[in-house]
Amino acid sequence: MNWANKLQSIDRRIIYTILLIGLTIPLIWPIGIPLAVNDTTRAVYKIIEDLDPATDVVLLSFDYSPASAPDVHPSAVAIVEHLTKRGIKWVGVSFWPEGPQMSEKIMRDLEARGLKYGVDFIDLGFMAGMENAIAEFAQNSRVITTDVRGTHIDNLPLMNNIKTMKDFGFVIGISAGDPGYNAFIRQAVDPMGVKFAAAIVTVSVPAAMPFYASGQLRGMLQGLRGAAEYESLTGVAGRGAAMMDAQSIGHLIIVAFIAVGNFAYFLSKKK
Amino acid sequence: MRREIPLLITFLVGIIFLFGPITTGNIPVLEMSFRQIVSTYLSPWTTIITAFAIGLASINLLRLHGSYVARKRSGWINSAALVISMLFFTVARIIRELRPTDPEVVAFYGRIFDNIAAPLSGAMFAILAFYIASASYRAFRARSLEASVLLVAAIIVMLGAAPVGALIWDYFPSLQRWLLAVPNTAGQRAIIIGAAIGGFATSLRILFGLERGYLGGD
Amino acid sequence: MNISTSIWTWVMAACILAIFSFIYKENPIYRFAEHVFVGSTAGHAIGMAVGNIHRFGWVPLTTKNEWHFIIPAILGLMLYARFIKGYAWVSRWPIAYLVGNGVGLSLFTSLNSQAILQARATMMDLIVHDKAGKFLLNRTFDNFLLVFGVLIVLTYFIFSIPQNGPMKKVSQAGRWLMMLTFGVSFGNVVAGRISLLLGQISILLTRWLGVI
Repeated sequence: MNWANKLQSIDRRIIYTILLIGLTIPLIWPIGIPLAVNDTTRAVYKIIEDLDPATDVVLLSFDYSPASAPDVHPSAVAIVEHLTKRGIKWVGVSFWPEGPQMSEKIMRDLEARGLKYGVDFIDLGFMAGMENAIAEFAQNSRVITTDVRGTHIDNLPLMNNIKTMKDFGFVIGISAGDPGYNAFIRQAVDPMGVKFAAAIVTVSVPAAMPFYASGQLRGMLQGLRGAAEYESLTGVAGRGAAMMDAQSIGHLIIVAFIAVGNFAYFLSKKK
Repeated sequence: MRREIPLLITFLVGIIFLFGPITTGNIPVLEMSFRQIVSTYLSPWTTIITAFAIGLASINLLRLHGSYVARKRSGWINSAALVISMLFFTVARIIRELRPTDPEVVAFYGRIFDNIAAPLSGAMFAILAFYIASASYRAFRARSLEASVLLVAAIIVMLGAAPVGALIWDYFPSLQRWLLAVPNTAGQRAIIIGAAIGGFATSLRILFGLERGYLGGD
Repeated sequence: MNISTSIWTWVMAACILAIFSFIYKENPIYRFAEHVFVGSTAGHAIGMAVGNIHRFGWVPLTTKNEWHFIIPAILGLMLYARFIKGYAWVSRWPIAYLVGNGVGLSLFTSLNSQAILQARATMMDLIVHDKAGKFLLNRTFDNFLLVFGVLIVLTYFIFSIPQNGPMKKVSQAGRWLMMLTFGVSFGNVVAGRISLLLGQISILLTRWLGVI
């Protein structure tokens, strides 16, 4: 076998090992490559900065599962940290069955730091029905009558002034698929004028760009990178920034393998 | 009647949901608006029916793997693990749902979800990174001019989206942002518009009973 | 290095490593973990579904006497008729209900959000000046690309007119733009998958091995 053919048939396990080592080392010893902030991220930050902690309540929709959590959960944490820093209260809801477990992790951490469930934040839990549930919750946000801890919403001061989704100062969908940001756009943003932004898995970002360009999405956190950017804006270090160096190395390794494969392909074609 | 009644149900429910947000005023005789019918009855019903539907696939799984265990087919231990873990998580979650104020129940479910279900699910999707690395190396070739355009765009995005891109070439991040914001937006927008128009036509066909594939065979 | 002594953390690490073992080759440990994954995910979903039926159906039915909730309960149960030989057709009613709901809900909203408003967003100034009246070449170029880009890709999808002559050229240009779009999507897919893997490696290094 000549060199060109050998280079075209590197054992997959070698590729896997190089990728694994390449991702692990920068996690242990970060390089600290500086990160520029996208306009889409800055837009979310600006809206939260402009909210009034005395009157505005934010709705966070946790529509993702552990499968996509590494890509979007750091964004959820970064946004909650910003809300906490500004003293803005928030309400959680989920249209994915795994969503409440994702928000519970965040709430557990906040409670350990002295923030109070029911005062600073609440979680309404999961509502089945996919896009229909989002439409119903948008029109009548009191359709979920009890929160995840069994308290009736009439006894939750955070829900006092909330009748529809429009009553929330800002709505953020942390979205990994369907139902997700596009269902919110169809059922809440366009028919009701709800102010909406989303933290989206990296894979879905290209498809979401037209909605950002049209203004239907007011802002967008683009996957793990979006979380890292948001952390740099708030100044609260989190998982996103810590993983960006490893992300860089991962991309470099894949680009290098694509280059090797193509180089060998052209070499073998020439011969 | 086995086909006609379902077609009628689809038509009526579809029309009520369609008219809900775009009409005002009451329907004669019923003295309710379409919106009220949707919000009072149909929409809450959907939540319940969808919740019932969630169990469908699981029942299928239980039947299939239950029979493997009963017949002791090869690999039945795995099937038993599936059945046991499904029943265990079902029961644990139901208790968690019915006793939301019990801190021990909440903590126990948090522990099993975070340390069994979440890592298994997370790892299952994480291994896709290895396959995409291997597939990129093996199949991502500049075989034609069109494939080369795809390849170059992908490489610019990969380098521009990672912080290291700016260290290699100053323009990678801005080029990546431009690709995403302009050509990608144009292409995606056309696909979104096309899909919406196609979806609209298909929805009309379903509403009027011309498309009946969802009813299945006899 | 500060290896965890918690049994739960070890269970978590074992779960991740069992799935990761597949990248070496298919093996019994992976198969076992794979089945537990399916079981636990399905079990969680069923539990959540029962919780929803209780919260949104049973509670209003029993505490507020909202008897109409019997209807969705019956329709929901009818779904399971597909497992009874000779009665599978009964499950068509609830399916027809859900399809009608989906169609009715999205018929107008999809057209509005995805076609009308997206088309409206494409109707932009082709020649762009700043507030002081200065011509902006970059923005003008971008707007030309956005407007004509949408049109040429849409042209590619017109199948009711034969694609000959100038039509063929325009649709070919649409094909090129789509290649660029798919390239961007592929780059994002790679980035997304790397993020997912990083998440798992990071969990092992922090919670289990205590290296970082």
